[in-house]
Amino acid sequence: MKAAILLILTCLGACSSGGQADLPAIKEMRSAAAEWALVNREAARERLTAPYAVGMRKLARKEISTQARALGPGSPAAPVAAALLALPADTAPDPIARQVARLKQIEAALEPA
Amino acid sequence: MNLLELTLGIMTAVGGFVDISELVFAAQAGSSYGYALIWVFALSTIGIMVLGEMSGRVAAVAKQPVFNLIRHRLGLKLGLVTLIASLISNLITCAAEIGGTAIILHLLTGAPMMLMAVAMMAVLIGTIWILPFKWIERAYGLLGLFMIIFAVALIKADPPWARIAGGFVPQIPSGLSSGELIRFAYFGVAIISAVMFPYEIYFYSSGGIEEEWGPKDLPINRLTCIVGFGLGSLLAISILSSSAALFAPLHVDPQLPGSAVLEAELPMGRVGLLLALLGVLFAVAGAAIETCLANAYSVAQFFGWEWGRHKKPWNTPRFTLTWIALFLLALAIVLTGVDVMKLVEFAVLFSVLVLPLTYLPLLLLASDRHFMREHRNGVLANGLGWLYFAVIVAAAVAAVPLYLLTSGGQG
Repeated sequence: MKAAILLILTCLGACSSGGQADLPAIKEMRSAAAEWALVNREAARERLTAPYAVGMRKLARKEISTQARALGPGSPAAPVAAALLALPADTAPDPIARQVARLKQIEAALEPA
Repeated sequence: MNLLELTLGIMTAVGGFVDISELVFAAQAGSSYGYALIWVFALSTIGIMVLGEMSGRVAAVAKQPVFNLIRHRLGLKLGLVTLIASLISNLITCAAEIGGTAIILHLLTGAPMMLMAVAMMAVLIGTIWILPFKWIERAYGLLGLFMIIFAVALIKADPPWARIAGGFVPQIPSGLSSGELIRFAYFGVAIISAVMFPYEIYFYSSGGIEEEWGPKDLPINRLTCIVGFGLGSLLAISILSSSAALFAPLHVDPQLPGSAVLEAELPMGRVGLLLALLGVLFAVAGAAIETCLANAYSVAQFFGWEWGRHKKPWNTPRFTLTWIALFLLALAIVLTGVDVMKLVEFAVLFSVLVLPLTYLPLLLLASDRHFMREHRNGVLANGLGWLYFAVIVAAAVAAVPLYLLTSGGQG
């Protein structure tokens, strides 16, 4: 029993040490930004309805903002979140995609082997 | 029952199979692990077929709905624990479904989400009040067939079919880090829970009593479970596969409930988007009704009240008040502004904890010679029943540690 508890605590510790504690928030932020970029790409091709495009942009930005607040102090993802939130909701997909790529790099650096 | 009735029953089961949890976890599983979790969907689908058939058979032969059995087989104290855990699990699930419909309506119309949640609630209460049981189930199940657009979209997207077929073989992807392996296991447990939600069994078996099934209906029960659930599961697998083919390359792990519909939009344009939105709306609304009624059935059966939608609402006052109160409670949860995706995670977590207590009494009664006579479990049903019981016990034991270790599937 003691060994099982120790194993769980060790794993929990491993999951949340240092910058890795930010990893869940960074992943959620990256995905929300990627969804936003996809919506804007499809909207530019006039394949979406207006309520859907507007609603999805709003939800994506809200998610990015929520996850940005969950980041620890000095997180490398914080400037990316700020850059994303500074973009207009209906911006072209490329500037969003660039931030997605930056978040992906940060994720890769933080991901345990 | 004629061929038309049989077809309608099967189509209803297909259209009503996918709910918000399956939608969310199928899409996330596909984008995160490609086709490697298809086998968990297939395995769980056989489980819900086995246990669904058993619950329908018990309802038809012993005339016993699940919560009657739970009280008699587990005793009052453990029965009460199961009842309370089920109520919490189903209530959270119901809130998640209502929140999901509100988001979809918001994306369809642009109207405020909270207003849409209230409007949806009024429609759902009106539906249960006005329609006879059979048509409550059918209306949403048949309208949920718009979900077939996901299968059509998958075909149009021309995915790697060989890799999809390979996904049916049990596997763990190679090269995953230890953290990713734990997350993979979390998704496996979440999919088992989402496919085998206990509310589906409460609703299905209570529906059998509502419709006064008898032994003559057993072949229909079997066909509905096997064909209906099987085809329904293919829709969930289509969502997973489209996500693997379309979302993964774009780094999208769908975090927003409205994202999955892009799987239909990408290959099919605006028509695909609208049909997918409608399919999700009706499928999730139907699940909201099922979870709420399942809760009211559970309470009424446990305490021995008059229950059933085949009776007029005022002839079953406590049952009627219970389902209305449960809907209002679920709406109150949504109106707090809680994140619907968090609700989905909690719903799946709570449900898997309740699963073993739900299925044990059912297994025992389905094998009981005294109650079930010649319709008791045969060797195959018994073997599969106990095998799946072992699977859900393992899933229940692993669920909480996996949830904590992965921060709800993210870490």
